[in-house]
Amino acid sequence: MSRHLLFMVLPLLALSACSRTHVVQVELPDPLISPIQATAHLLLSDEFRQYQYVQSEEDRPELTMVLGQAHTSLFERIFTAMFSNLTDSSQDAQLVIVPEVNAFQFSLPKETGTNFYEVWVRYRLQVMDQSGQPVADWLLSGYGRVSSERFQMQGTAMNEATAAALRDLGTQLAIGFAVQPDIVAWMQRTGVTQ
Amino acid sequence: MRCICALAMALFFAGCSNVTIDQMRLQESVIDRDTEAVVVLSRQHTAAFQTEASLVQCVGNELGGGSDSLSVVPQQAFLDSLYPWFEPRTAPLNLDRLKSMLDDPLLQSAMGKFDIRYIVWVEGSTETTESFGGMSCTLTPAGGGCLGLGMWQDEGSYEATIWDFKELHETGRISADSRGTSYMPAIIVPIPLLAMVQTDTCRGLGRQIQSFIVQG
Repeated sequence: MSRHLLFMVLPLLALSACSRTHVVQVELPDPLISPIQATAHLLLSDEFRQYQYVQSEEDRPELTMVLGQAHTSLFERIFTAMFSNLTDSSQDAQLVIVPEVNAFQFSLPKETGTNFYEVWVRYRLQVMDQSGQPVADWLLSGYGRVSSERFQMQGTAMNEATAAALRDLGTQLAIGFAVQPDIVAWMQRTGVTQ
Repeated sequence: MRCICALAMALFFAGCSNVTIDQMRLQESVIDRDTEAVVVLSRQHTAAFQTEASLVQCVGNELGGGSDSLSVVPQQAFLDSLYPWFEPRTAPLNLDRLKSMLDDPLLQSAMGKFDIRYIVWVEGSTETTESFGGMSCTLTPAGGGCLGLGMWQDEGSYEATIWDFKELHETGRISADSRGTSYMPAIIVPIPLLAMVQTDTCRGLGRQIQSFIVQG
């Protein structure tokens, strides 16, 4: 009886250990930046909020990375610190920011011959003014990697690498947004300061 | 009999690793251990290696222990409080960059809260340089087991650069090189006999940094 039980439990344990769907979690702190003195609205589509990357190429391991909640929280946190006022509605906003995922890529140690799990994320950021005219169109990437360690689960490593890539993306957003030439030009035109 | 000999040898050598420490002092070090703190940070800017977070935490623990214990700010708390200025792509690579970063009053105020006297930058990694032997495992409804012997050699190479945050100069550098061989004999059940290369390096490096800072 106990042996039968063991053979029922072992495959379940093996399956749970090899789960191919990973919900990415990233704990991003509030960025230490001076806010732009303007009202902005962050427009996040349902597709963005529920985004998940599905890897289905035949010669690579099946993998689903659920990013929606993690990157939604990241963008909200960064832009809350970035503007003196981040509103829920686009009506009163001087700028409307619309992010979308442009690409998600990864590599495994056995594919590159290195010791790293690596993840690249690329986002497109469209910025419009109050009248809906385009102000900026910015492509930015985040990169994260973790060393492969003996007896480490692939899913855990991929989660950590993706979280690092999102944190890197947040770094570029926090530091790079206000110095984008198109944003600088808009600030000069409208008299908005930082 | 051969099997017992192999196992005895493996047990004899298990956990053996050697660490070589070198030190270069550029300035005298001074710290008020009651009011000033140290932070240990990993360098992440090169593509060649990734300094392990576990090593950095271990070095921090070593600095915070013993009779000469220092007040150590945890790396993650420091990075989170100063986000995004000490991230892999933004962390200052030299003191001139740090000085210019401190022109920002926001950053200056945030760093001031920690009362940091020394920033210790650690870079390097531990890698498996050789592996040999083999093992085969079988699982059947009647039972299972493994048989064989696997061995691998790990080598670690790290350098710690110590910056005096108050005087804004480099105080010194300490390097640690280590090597060790691990064994995994398997007679039904694999038994890992690991050489704690990273742990031994951390202890050696941590104690040396502590002595470097405290003894001036």
